[in-house]
Amino acid sequence: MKSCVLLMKVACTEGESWRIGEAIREKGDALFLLGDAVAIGRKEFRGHASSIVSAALNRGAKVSASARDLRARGIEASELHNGIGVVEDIEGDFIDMTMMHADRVIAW
Amino acid sequence: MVEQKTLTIMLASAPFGNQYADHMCRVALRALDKGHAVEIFLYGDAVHAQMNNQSPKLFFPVGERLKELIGKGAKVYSCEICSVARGYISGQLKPDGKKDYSSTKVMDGVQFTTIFGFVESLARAEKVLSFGGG
Repeated sequence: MKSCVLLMKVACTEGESWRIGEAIREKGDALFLLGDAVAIGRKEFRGHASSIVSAALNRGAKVSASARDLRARGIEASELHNGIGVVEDIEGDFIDMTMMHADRVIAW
Repeated sequence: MVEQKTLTIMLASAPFGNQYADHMCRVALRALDKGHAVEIFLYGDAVHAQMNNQSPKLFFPVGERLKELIGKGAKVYSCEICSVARGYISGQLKPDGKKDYSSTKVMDGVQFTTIFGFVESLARAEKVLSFGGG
């Protein structure tokens, strides 16, 4: 089952982070970081939600962050974990994954 | 040619307090660009997105984007009960017995329905997304 997660918030409890991370299980799954959630892609981020990104990357899922939202927050691409793609048309990529490939979609 | 599929979206947060309405509008517009049908249900405080004459000088122009979505063929439904509660429509019946949805406060093109109408929209959907509400 291909899964796609759209993350739009930073504040996640440990339990929420675990459950969302568990939705991204394998290569072919995708995690999209939009709005405030781009911050959790930073190597220096220490909140519970950082486990979502590390789980996704370790399992070979595609992780993308919104270029527009990174710029708005002054976050450089070099601050992100290796393997996170910076995407201008992240909404377009998300729609393609959601409507054409994913069996399950979570927007959080 | 992309096979037309329907994306149903529930928005449950009011505009301007957070970015859920902004994200919803951008995702919905891209879905329409890619040839998908889009149905949006405004629920709870999200019905404030239907307000006419918004003028968000410093925020993402949710009202303008919603009008653009309607113009491009998205169906925008608003929760009738939520809209009555917040003073957008009267909740009264017209002399012919039909519900009076007239309002100068609501932008053209927004249609009112109940949560049962939303369930029908879910039945038409290929995928369902929910933005906000927490």
